[in-house]
Amino acid sequence: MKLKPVVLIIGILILAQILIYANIERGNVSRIEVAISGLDPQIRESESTRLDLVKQLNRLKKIVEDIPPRLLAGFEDPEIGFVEFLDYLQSPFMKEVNAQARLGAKSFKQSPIPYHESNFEITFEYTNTVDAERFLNSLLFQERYPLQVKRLDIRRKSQGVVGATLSVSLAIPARLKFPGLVSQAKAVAK
Amino acid sequence: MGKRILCVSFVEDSFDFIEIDRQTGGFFAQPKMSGRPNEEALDRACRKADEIYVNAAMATAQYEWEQFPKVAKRYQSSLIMQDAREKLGGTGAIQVQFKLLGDAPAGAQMRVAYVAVPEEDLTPIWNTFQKHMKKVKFISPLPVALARAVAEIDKPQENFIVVWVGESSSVLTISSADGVVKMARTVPVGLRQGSMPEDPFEGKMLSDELGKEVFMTSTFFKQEFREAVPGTIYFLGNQNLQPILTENPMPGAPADAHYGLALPVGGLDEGRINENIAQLACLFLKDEFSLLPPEALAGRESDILFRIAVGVLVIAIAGSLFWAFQVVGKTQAMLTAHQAKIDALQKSRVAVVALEKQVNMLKPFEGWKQFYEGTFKNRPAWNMVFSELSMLIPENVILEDFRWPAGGRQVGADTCSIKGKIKAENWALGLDMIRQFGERIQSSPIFEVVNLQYSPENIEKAEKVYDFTINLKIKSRGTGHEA
Repeated sequence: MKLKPVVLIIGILILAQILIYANIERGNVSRIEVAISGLDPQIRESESTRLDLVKQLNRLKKIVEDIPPRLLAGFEDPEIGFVEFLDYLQSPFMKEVNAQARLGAKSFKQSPIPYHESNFEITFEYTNTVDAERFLNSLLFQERYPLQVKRLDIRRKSQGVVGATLSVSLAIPARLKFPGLVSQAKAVAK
Repeated sequence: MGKRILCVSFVEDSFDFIEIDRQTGGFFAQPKMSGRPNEEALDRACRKADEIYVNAAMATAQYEWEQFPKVAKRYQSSLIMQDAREKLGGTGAIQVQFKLLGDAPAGAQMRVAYVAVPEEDLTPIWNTFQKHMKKVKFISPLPVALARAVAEIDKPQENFIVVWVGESSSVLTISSADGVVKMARTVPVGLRQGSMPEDPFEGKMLSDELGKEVFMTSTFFKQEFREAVPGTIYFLGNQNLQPILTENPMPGAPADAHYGLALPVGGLDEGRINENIAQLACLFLKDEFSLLPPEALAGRESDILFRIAVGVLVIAIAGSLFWAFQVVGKTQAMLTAHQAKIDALQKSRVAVVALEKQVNMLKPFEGWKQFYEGTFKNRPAWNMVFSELSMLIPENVILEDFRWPAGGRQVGADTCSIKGKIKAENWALGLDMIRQFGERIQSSPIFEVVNLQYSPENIEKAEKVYDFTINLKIKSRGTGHEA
């Protein structure tokens, strides 16, 4: 067998192998470049999402801090809260202005949180504004029962007597599905 | 690393050789065996040698300087071959080697020096070295080698004569200053190596015969080349030539006579160099006038092509390897960068998932915030409305009606309306009182006037009474604790 052709063929084969290998590697480089360029927007998007979430989280933490803990502690049972409010309406401040409470419609609402709404219409009379203010302060500015004033009409009657009609809604939050959620959320907020 | 060079002479049908080591320091001769070497010794020396140089007397060789029409390179050899065939005569194959000497002075012709040798004179040499032909670098006519050696060592300024004296024949050469043979003859005049001839007449006869041959050759040279007889002559091949020719001066010999060459070969004295000049002269051969067999030349050519191909392949492989290593390096770098990007993306995604979980956990508190603001936080200051109004109301003003929310299109849902009457002495004063009342309400910290409407109750009446309606916003008081 002649040596020279064999040497040349082997050399050409080696050269071809190296070239093919290098070419494949070059193809790999191109593919990796494409993959990297595809990753960059994903990283930017993910980072942007992360920053948005950080901002959102900080905003939510601030909200959690702003809400008084007594409100979050809520009512173990909305019905008990309701009857407690009925008892509260029997307090002496009601009698001072000859107040009469009448229960209106009750409903359950989902927004902004699930709560039971009970409407009351309370009529009262006064001759001194101080009495009226004391009554309103006792009724509306206690920190136990969440009340929303729907309507207040005050009309002068005869002989210096003023009659008023106050419509309020008692909004008692529904029982939480997961009682531990608030404490967990508080922990997160900290 | 040195190379072993085998310098062989083929004169008078017998081979002689000397082994020379070419090293970085120069040429060094190996001890030469005594007597003529046999074939076995020559074969052994050939096997040991790295390169073989052969000088042969080639008595029938034809040395010519001719002018030829200028033709393309590929036609030159056939043109010269045709001329050589005409000059040598006969039908046998011949070997021709030529050298272009340049353009002829007149016309579009070229000057060529060539050597033509019948192949039958070369066959014994080719056969002898057939097995070692790859090592054979040159097979050169002896006159060519001698002329080249003289030109390389002594560098004469003009044509010169070389007389090499063998044991039974001599070679007379006239060469140009650059060592290209112009004319060469082999003559049957010889001198035994070793001791001086015992008969003094023998030296005189040698001198006369050589003188005659030199004269004939010079005369022929003058006729042929139209040039003067060379003024320098070299007597080589036998260390006894100098004493013989000094004692018996050669008639008509050029005045400038030399009896040896200062060859730079270690291990040999001047006399031994002179004796072995037929072998040593080949050390100065150039790549011209080499009479290697055609198949060997073809092999050399293919060898050269093979070496070029291998060289190109090696360079290509080295280049492609370099490229491949670069590409592989780049691939690794890119892979590392890719992995780093993936890690960064995963890290970011993990952080996003954790944040999303936290955000989702805190999300319900947005509703709680709304609830808190709707119940406790943003409560109008109901407990201050009446005392504030009582401080703001001037005399002669009677409030008749308070309504929250006010209702109507002009005002919002968080607005209350106050209706009442103002009693005044005249309309202008009443109007002024209304304005004062409005300004005082506007300056209150818990009220904000939205609009004010008024009208005289009855302009026919003597009593001046205005009916008015003020729409107000009640600012929130906040939690009881804040209040």
